Amino acid sequence: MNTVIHSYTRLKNEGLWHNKNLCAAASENKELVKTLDELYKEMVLEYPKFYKMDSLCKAGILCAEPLLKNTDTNPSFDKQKIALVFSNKNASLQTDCAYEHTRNTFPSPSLFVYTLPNIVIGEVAIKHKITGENIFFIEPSFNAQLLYHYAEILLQENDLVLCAWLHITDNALDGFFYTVMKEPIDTEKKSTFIQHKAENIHKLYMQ
Amino acid sequence: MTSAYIQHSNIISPLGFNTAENFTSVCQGISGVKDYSSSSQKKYYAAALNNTLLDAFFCSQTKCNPLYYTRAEKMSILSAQDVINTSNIEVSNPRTLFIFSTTKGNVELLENKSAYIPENRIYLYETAHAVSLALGFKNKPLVISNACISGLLALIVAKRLIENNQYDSIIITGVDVLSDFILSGFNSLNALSTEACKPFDKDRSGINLGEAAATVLLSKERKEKSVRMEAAYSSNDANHISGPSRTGEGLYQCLQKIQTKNTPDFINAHGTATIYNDEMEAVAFSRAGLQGVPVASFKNYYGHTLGAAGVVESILCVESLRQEKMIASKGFEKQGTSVALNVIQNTHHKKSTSCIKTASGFGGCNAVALYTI
Repeated sequence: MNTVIHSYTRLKNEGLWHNKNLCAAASENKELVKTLDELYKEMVLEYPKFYKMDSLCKAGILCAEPLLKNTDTNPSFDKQKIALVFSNKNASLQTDCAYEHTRNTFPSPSLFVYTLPNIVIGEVAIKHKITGENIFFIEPSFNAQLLYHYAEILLQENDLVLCAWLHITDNALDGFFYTVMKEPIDTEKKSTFIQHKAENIHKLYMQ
Repeated sequence: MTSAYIQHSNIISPLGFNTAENFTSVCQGISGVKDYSSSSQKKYYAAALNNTLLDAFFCSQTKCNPLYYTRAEKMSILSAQDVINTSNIEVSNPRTLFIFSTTKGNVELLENKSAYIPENRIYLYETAHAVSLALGFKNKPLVISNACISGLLALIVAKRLIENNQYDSIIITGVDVLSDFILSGFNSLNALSTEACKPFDKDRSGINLGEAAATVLLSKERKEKSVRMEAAYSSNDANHISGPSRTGEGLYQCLQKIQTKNTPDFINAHGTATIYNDEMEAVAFSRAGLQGVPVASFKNYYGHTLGAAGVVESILCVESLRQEKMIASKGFEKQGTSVALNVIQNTHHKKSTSCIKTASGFGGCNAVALYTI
């Protein structure tokens, strides 16, 4: 089975890129929390729920949008056969700390529900109505090998796998999302895709 | 294709320090859930592991200094070590993997810092790494944190890695401990019951939290009494991040995928005893044509042990198949879901050949596994 990387997005402090093209640029000297709201406005998402999310979920919604937009309008996608494979280092630590601060006064239920890393998977699934496989791996740093192997396994029974690394801290936005699928039979399209290999995934992340 | 079989197992919980002790307690209808009301918090019930007993057992079974490990780590080390000892598995073999599953790991370190435990152990990977080093694994651990399906999902990943010949043997440990962080959170959601929980019952009023570590050895060898992990899937409701889908869509889709020619002999449900979870499960089982299958929840015995639950409950399913038992859904009296379920009311002898284990969690996630003997 030949598999290919269909498309990818990269989130950094400076903005969001989709396949090397800048989607939205962040203005300098802004707090990172505000940067995510700024990128959201630039991308004209019109998804007001965005504002109630924590930073991890906001970043996930932004990174996933350019990759999954076409699955919303194209009825040929079976939403049960799209898998979401996420990873990061901190799990939900930022929101864990925020919730912990509210605990001595009034523990906030709206913060508590975000104290799980996989909530971002749920938010992406809700936005794009994806009901397929989900998993959240915790790794000390971006692990192309792990994502590669697991996506290969999932593609035996699924059509599309969205792989994600989403490391959000108080001073760094580091997101890398990409979609993997079986190589299309259409030979014209073939050349436009990158072969799905761990080394290619790693190269794209390092760009 | 290679198949994945469950071999040895261990459960460290208020009901015992190995699988046999736990299974015997459950068969006798003993619950670990007790009244832990304190002045600072409202009345609540939970299943807590006695710290003195844990430390004494830790010192008798390992050479590790208990000061250098958190409760979650000590329980994990004890649980995995028992499986390593009884199975004689080679932990240094490059074809052996350690998978660590937890929902909140050492989150209590946010509040209770320890002079002996480095601050970086708040990171789930560092927790797993400390446990993995203490056990002597050579490969890096694989860490999964996916809310309340973490444990079952860890088993699913292990099954897939074995079937695809990435490893020969995988040790899967799931753990979570009680903490004020988790208790206050579930309390803020009004999800805690003020009595021992009653899964699927008409008068159910919420969950009890619990703590446990549980370990399974999964490998490709078929032995006598090996239980095969035949099919397993995860899904998302794509509906709500903290409420189960009213139509049970995600769970239904998983059940549809694993349905085989034969109806399973029993289902071990997630059954947290919240109004909405149990109702969602009843709807999903009914949509999948499984409403007549004997069903039980083990939450009244252990409380909800979060990242450990899927492993604990899978082990009890495996033992039920091996020892030809049908375990009662403790806490259930009256039908309490819109679709009547065939809830198991008395523990009894029954030979079964297959069962389904389900789990659901925040973030809209679901996981289902089919075990056969």
